[in-house]
Amino acid sequence: MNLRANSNQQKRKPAILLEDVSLVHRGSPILKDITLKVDIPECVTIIGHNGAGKTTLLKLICGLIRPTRGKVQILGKSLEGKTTLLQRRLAFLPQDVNIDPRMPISVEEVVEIGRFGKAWFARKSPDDIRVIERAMEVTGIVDLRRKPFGLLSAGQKQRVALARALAQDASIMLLDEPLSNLDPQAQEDICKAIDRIYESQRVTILLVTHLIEKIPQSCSTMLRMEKGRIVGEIKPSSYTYRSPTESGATPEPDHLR
Amino acid sequence: MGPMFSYEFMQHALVAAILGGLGCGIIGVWVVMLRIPFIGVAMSHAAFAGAIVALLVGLNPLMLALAAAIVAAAVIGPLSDRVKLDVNLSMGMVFSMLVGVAFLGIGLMKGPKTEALNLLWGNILTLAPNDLLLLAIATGVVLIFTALFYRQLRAIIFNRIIARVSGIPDKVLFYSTLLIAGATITLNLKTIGGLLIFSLIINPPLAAYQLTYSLVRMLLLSALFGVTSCLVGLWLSYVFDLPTGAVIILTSGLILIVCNILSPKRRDMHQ
Repeated sequence: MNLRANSNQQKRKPAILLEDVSLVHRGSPILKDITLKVDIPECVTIIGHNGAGKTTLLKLICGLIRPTRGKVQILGKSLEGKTTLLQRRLAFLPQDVNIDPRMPISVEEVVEIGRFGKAWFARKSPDDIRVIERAMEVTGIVDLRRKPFGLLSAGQKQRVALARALAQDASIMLLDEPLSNLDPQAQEDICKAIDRIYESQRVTILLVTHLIEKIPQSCSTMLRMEKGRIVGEIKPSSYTYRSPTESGATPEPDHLR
Repeated sequence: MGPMFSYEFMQHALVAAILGGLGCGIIGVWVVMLRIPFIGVAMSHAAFAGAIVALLVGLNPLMLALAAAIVAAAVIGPLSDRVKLDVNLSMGMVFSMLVGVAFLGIGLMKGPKTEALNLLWGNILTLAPNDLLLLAIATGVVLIFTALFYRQLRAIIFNRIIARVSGIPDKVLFYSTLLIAGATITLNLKTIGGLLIFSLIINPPLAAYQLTYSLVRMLLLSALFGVTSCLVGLWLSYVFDLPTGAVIILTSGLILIVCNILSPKRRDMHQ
């Protein structure tokens, strides 16, 4: 399967390149022959049911797990042996981060996390402050900066997570189910925040979701994943957008076939 | 309080109370926030096992206790990461092995076992200047470690995976925390005792945790509660002629109960 590698944008090194990547865990295939190319900048969404392998794919791209077979390149470089350096170019938003609601950490302090992987003994510089302010502005959380993170709503927490990823100044953002467990209005807000990030920062965004009724407008390509394989591609132009208020129940994935 | 501190051993006890309370209060914040409270028990028993072996073979008990705690800390972190085991479970494994070693050693000991049992109960009134120096070094290491890596540690307690993918060396810092906690606990064994040190690591940060959403304030409050517990406990034990370690722990427990009652977070959670 080679869905994206045939793109005519071959001149620049792609942000993400996977070639025939497979992952086997305890004898069970989790990812099968994945070939994927995402350019700089590009916003790609991968849609699939729970258990399709979407989260595993993201973890593999950001170096948290290694493939059994195949090649993974980030910004033209192999992940092998350079994980930490390359990880700083990647911002990963994991799904379902369980945080104690009473944890003593403010919104601004969560956003700051994105700035302190750069060096040992790192202190906040004027540049860090500028980037953190910008990240909070783009995601619309400036008013929340002093609030304890644990007391925010699910949608607000997701916007803070986006700001944290943005503050990392990464070239690639990997978003794992950023819209799940949110009400329609919060989904709308997150999509707008992702669109603003894409427009203002021109970063590469790879988003995975099992919800297909709401996709950021900046998403140029949607891929469908099933049982560890990428099995189909759909251009958003052929996909009829419905706002959360218009759409009722989650449509079946057959919409994308 | 004048006559109380006219004795040299009480002056030593006062310094130990301040250093121990400060060190345990600060490292306790990281222990509580990293959800590894069992480290207090695991490390104190590792140190205890080391000291018993040292007494059996005629070596310096403190040095071997420190070595055993450091080795245990060095095993616990990688063991939990490699075997994908909850760190508290890997601590349990190491703890149970070391308790076996310690009690086997006690069983093999000839004659009185006073020195070994002193490590279990602790006695702040018998500390020598050398003990205070080691305690000062341990507390200094805790303070320097916290000052240097405060932001990175804050990221790790928020979420280790997020810290890792942000480029923060979470494993190195997590293992370092285990090591420093192990050393701090070992060097406080003589002051508080192996059975009670767990409470001094847990109670002050938990009390501070009830009162604030700011990590800096939590660190300051925890240090304050740790030192207050030790000083008040020392004074009460002197006045009423009670075992010092036990009174220190009861004082820290009382502070925890009061903070729990006054906690603004209880209201927030019910809203």
